[in-house]
Amino acid sequence: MNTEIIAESGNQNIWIKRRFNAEKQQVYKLFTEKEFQMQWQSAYLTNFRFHRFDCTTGGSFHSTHTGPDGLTYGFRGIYHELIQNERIVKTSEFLGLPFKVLPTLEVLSFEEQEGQTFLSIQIICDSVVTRDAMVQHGMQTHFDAIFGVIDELLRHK
Amino acid sequence: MINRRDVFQAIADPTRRSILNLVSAKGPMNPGLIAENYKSSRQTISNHIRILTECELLTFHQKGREIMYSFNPKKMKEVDDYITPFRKQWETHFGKMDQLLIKMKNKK
Repeated sequence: MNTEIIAESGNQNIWIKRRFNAEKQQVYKLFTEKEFQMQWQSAYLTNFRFHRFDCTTGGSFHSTHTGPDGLTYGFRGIYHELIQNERIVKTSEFLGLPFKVLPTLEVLSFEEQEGQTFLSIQIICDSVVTRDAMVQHGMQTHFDAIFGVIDELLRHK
Repeated sequence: MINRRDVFQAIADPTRRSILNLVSAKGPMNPGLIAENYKSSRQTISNHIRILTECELLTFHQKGREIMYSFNPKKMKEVDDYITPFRKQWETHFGKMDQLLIKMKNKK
């Protein structure tokens, strides 16, 4: 399955797009049930844990993990709106940086297409600077060519 | 790594990015022609060109008495890696999600 990541120049969005061989009810569950989210977050983030997880409209979350530098980082935010199996609108603030960053607004959309589920995550940052910091600390470029997406085939079973 | 000029440092500057865009669009140019496109002094522009050349985003060749600068797309590939850690994170997440979905299906 191809993962598409787009950070366009001229705006401060990040788009992450992916197809899954599953019904959208199942893919939706991965993002709304604590146990599932624990599992896929832990696949990449060391010592990942939730201190709060209330995935309901108006509910909030707070998680921490250990960064590659050994320091503790985390995320916290609010679930602004959940439309079952369709859409999640949430905020997310990256914690642990020496400076304050504004939370991002994230819109997750689930769409079923021919037995597959098409997931799109739109991450809206307050500025291009925050966006680029999110993608990788301090490295900013504004070349369309390099932000153009390179798809790699995921190991798929 | 420290004594080598960093490609990201080079493209962090808007004028240098603009020079790269210009040269990649118009093909090989001499420094005078490049400088004509900017309000900054020729000295400033040649300084930018020097930095871009040091980090190999621009290459040069002699054409008669002139030095012509060209864009080096190969070096740009290195910048492509910019997004790699973020991509890696999400691909790891998604890979795990695939496994979880298979488990969910089998449970049914």
